[in-house]
Formats: sequence, structure tokens, C-alpha cells
Amino acid sequence: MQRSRRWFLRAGALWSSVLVACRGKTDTPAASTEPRTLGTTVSSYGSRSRFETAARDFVTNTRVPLEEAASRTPLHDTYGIITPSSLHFERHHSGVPEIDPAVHTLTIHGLVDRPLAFTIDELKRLPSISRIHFLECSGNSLSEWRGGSTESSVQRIHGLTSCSEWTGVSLAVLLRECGIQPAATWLLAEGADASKHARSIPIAKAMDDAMVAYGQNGEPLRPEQGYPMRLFLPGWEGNANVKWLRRVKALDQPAMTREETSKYTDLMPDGTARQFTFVMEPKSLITRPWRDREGRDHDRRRHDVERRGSPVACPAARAHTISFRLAMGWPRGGARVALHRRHRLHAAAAHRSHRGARHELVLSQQRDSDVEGRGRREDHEWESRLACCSRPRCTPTPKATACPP
Amino acid sequence: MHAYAEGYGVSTVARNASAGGQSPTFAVGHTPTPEQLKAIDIEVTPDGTGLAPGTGTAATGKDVYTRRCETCHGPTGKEGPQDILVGGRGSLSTATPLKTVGSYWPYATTLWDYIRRAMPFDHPGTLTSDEIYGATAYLLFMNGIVGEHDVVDQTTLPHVKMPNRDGFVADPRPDIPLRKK
Repeated sequence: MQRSRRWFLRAGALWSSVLVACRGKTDTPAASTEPRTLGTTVSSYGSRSRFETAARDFVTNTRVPLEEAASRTPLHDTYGIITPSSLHFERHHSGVPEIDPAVHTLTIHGLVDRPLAFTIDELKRLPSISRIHFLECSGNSLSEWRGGSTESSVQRIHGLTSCSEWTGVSLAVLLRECGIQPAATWLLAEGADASKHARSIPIAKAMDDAMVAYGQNGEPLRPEQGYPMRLFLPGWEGNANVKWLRRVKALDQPAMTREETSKYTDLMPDGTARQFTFVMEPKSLITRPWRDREGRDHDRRRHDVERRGSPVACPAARAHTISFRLAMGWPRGGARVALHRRHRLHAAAAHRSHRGARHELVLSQQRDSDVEGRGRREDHEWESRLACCSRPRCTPTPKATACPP
Repeated sequence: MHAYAEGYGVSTVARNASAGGQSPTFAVGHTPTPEQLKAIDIEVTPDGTGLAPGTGTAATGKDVYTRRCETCHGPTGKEGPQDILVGGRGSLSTATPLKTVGSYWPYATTLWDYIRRAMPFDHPGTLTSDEIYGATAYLLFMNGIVGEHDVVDQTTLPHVKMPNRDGFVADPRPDIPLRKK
């Protein structure tokens, strides 16, 4: 049956007036679902709303036992720069040990004048430092290095990085208390997990900014992150930040453990392998718009992104994370920001994969230095360079900063 | 619990005497006893420092391997399902590199250290020194690095030259020029 366009218009107008009339007589939907009964009581330790579902992701159908598997942070599902401790990525070598802090000690020995064992309570009596640092697994984003990603989500590709405020004591303070000897050029750091995970660390890093951390985001380390104490080496690959730290031995050579010879070395196409490649470099990635594990796209509309704000991006960073918005079409649109070249490469690649959508890009900066400190940049230099923006559509907005002492 | 559990960082002496620490500036920390140090001082460096007394050959190690290693690494070390330990020589510069004890590991002492430190995966710390020497010898033998009856001990193991001993280079970074100020 044919109906005229005018019939449709009349019918539509009628329905509209009916709907308007009804809406005026009822409560709004939001008000009708608000609880009118008493809520729960106060409690001793809080937890998130049952409506929230952000979760670490790990694969269970591989030959890798879950005790030495990895779980990944939902970067697209967090806010600001701090990763909730419950969502901090994991990578273990022989499971998460349960360690009683009342009997655990950190022993420092080897080429020192005074071998000493410290309890956790003693470490807490020493001058404490709190710093915000990213931590990144050396294998993060590995699929990108193998000729393009076969994974679908930012969590699967880049989720082996997380950011926390770490609290602890400077390793240099402990080494001086033990009388570190000039002959000591390397430290062996060893965990108390089942496989006694061990890595050799150059003494220069230890005397620079290494710390023995016991706090994470205001509370004791989570067991997955090394409770009751771990080594923390800002900007260096995750596995060298030995968890469940039980001893540090000063040596005049690296111990050449299995992890630093056969595992965390980088085989190059010519058959040689790079060894002791500790530094994790800057990394940038787009967290919104994002694609979920089923391949569905989210927040592609312009206002979604603007309203939502920006979660984290990645590198094993020093202390500042600066997020800023880039106008549609960057870099073609001409937003010019002075970035480290590796940032530019990452950002350009991320941009290509989301062409056409306005997106927020979060960059983190780290000191760009090697073991000897060559090529080090100071933080204030980065800051001024990031603030340099020649186009009005690009508005750098410091998201959060936290300066180390 | 495994064999290393005794004395693992457990320092009741230190805890009970917390009134008088021994570090010079902050007066914290306590001197570990020789027994406490011995219990945790387990690393073996490439010059052989840290190797425990004991001995083994591929012939004696075959039995250890069969009982404690084969389930994860396969009858000949090539089958898995876990890490492949044998073979791969000459593959490192190909499109399908195979990193094994024989093709990749630069130091034989690392093998001894890691077996004592972490193997077997589900019961680390349960092998005797002789069993560790035996398993080490058997893996080196299967990779064609030592003979079936070569004795592997504190003296001989540091002198075993691994095929990829010279295959490692230092980190060349920063490999991108830094912008001048």
C-alpha cells in the first residue's frame, strides 16, 4: 500500500506530541533507578564498583605455564598516568612467591667492607623516596617488531607497561652503608622466587637512580610486583628490576646468568646478539579511539575522545608524562611539536592506523641515556621542547607531573 | 619446600638484635653469619667461581636427564614442549634462528648455575651437585661439545669453550643522533 509523504509527517508529529506529554508526567529514568534504601556500611579495605570490569589480559592456551606467563595492562581502560596496582602488568619466571616480611631480609655482600642484612622494617627507617615511573617489559610491543601486528588491541600489543608511584630507599645509600669497594663494577641482584631470578647490573646505574622499592601507589608492593621488596631501575627493562629481592652481591664482572645470556639478549639478523641492552626507549601510542579484543572500534567520534580525556601511553619513563591533543590530520595538518625522533616515529605510525579520527596521544619522556650516561637529556629540556607548538590547534596540556627530588 | 629453603634470607638473629644496627650512618642492618651467606651465595661466574664440589659425565647424566628433564625438553632435547636445548648450530643468522644451549649459550658455567638455580621447573633446588654436573655434561654431549666420558667438574667446566662464545656484542645505542640544543 502506498502512503504519501504527508501521511508520514503527520504521524510523526502525532507521536512526538504523545511522547512529550508522557515524559512530563513521569520521573526521569535516572531518578527512578537511584537507590532509596540504605547502602553498605563503611569497610576496612575498599574495592571497585561491581559495574567496572577493566582487567588484565593473558593467554591460557599456550605451552607456557601460567607461572611464567605475562598478563597485560588495559591501557585504554585507565585514566591519567597511574596504573592501578591491581592492573599492573605481570611477568614472572616461576610464579608469585608468598614471602613473610617478618623473616625476609635483603643481604648485601661481595666486594663490600661490611656485608649486611636488612629487614624490611630497617629499610623503612632509612630516608625514603617516592617517584612516579613507568615500568616496561623488554618484550612489550614485540609483535610490532616482527613485521606488523597480528594482534587487535592496544592492550594485547602494548600492555606490558604500567606506571606506579614507587617508594623505597636509594640503592646507593645501602651500598655506601655496606662500604662498596672501588673494585666492584657490577652487582648481581637475585630474587627469592622459586627459580631465584638473577640479573647483573652495572654499578653506575646502582649509584645513580636505582632504588629498593617497598611501596607502590601508597601501599606495600603487591605480591605480583615483588612484595615485600624489589629492585627498581628507572627506565630499564622490566626483568632487571628484580622482584622479591633477597640479595645484592658486588662483583668485578657480570655473573652471566641465563637471563642475561640466553634470554634477554637481542639476536640481530647477522647472527650476533646484543647483550645488556637495558634501556627502554620512549614510546607513544594512541589509547583512544581503541579497538577491543573482538575487533570492534570504540570512541571514533570526535566528541567521545574530547570528553573522555587521555589515559596512559608508554615508555619506561622518568617522571613526567605530558599528554596533549593533536588536531585531526596530524602530521599532515601541521601540528608541529618538537619530539624525540623515536616519539615521532611511534606517533606517526599510530596516526596512520587511526587516520581520520581525532585522537589523543600521550607521550612519556625518559632520560635518553645509555649505561655510561652518554646522550643524557635533562627533564626540563624535554619540557620546554614539548611546550613548543607553532599551531593553535595543538594545545599541549600538562596532564600530570611529578618531579623526583 | 626445596633444598635451598634453609637460611633463605631468614635472619632471625638480625631481627632479634634490631636495637644495635651496624651500618655507619643509619645504624641499621646486621652482619650475616657465614652459614646464612653460604645458603644464598649461589651464583657461578664464567671463571668457575661458585661451582660446588662434584663430578659427572654424559654417561652418568643421561639417567638424570631421563628422570628429571625429559618430560619438558624431550627425549633428545629437541622435542620440547618447553625450551629446545639441542641443535640449531649455524641457524642464528638465518630467517629461523634456533637458540639452544649448543647454538647460543656463551658460557658452560651458566648452564650449571641455571640448573642448580631453577631446574627442574616444578621442583627447583632438588638436584645434587653430581646430578647437576651429570645433566650439564649430558646436554653438552648432546650438543657435540664434550665427549661421552669427559669428566665435568669444578676444574674442567670453566674451560669448556661454547660454540657461540664470541657471538655477543655490547649495546650500540644511542644509535640515532641526538638533536643539538
